[in-house]
Amino acid sequence: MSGMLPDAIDMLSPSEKEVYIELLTIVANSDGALVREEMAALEAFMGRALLKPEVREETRKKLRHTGDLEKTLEIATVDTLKVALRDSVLLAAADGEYHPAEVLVLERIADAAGVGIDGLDQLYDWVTEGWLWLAKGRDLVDMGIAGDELLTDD
Amino acid sequence: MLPDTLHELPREERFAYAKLLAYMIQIDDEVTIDEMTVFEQRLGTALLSPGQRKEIRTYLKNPPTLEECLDELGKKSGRLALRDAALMTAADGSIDEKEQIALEQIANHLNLDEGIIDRLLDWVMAGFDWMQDGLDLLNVE
Repeated sequence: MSGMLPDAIDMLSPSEKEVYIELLTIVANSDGALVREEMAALEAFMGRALLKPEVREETRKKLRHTGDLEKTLEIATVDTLKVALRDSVLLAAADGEYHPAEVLVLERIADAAGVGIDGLDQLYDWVTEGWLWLAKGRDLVDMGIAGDELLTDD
Repeated sequence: MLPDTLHELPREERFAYAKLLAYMIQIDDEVTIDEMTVFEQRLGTALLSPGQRKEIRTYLKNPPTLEECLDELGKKSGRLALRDAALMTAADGSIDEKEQIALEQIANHLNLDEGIIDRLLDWVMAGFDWMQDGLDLLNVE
C-alpha cells in the first residue's frame, strides 16, 4: 500500500504556508459570505498544513479583514501559488457552488501561477471527482446525503 | 479533503469523533507525520473549539480506552469516525495488526459487516490516487 503523502504543502516553508493560508482566506471571503462549510474546509487546510496554533488564531482574526490579493500574489512563490490554487478550488466548492466573485479570484491566482484556463477547468473536474470519492465513502458507511445519488449513479 | 457532513453534527458528537481518532492514532505506539497531518486535518473539519482541541491532544499522551470512546459515539459520529480512522491509519502506508483489530471492533460496535474495513481501505486508496491526480495537474512534486 502506498502512503497518502507527503503532499506539496509539506514542501512549503513556514512563511510560504502563511502566504498560502492568506490566499485561501481571500478566496473564502471573496463572495462576502463565510459559511460553515467553508470555515470547516479552511480549518482543515490549516490543520493539514500543521500551522502553529498562533498562526491559526491570527488567521481566524483576519477572516473578516483579509489582505490584498495583488500584494499577496506578489510575495507568493510559484509552488505556493499552485498549492493555494488547488486548495482554493476545493475551498470555493465547499458550499456546493462557485460564486462568480470566487471564480474571479481563482482565475487571478491561476494566472499568477502560470496555470491557464484549461488547467483551471481540469482542477474543477478534479474537485468534482473528489466529491464523487467522498460520496462513495459516505455510502460505504450508510451516511449518504441528499444529492449523493446524482454523483454516484453511473 | 472536502468538508463533508461532520461539521453538521452536535458538538458532543464531533468531540467524541475526534476522541476516537486520538485513540486510534496512538494505538500502535507510533504517531507518524502522515497520520498526524490527517488527524489535524480532521480536527479542523470538526470545527472544535481551541479548548476542545487542546483536550483532544491530551489524549495522545493519555489515551482513553476504546470502550470509553465507543460509549460516547452516536450512530452518525461513529460511522464517520470509522471511515476517517481507516483514512488516518492508512496514511503512513500500512495498517498494523492493532489498528486492524481496533477498526474491526469499531465496525462491530456499529453493527457493520466484517467486509466494511476492506471496502473502506479500497476507498482510501482511491482517495490517495485522487490526491496524486491533483498534484499531477499542477506539476507539483
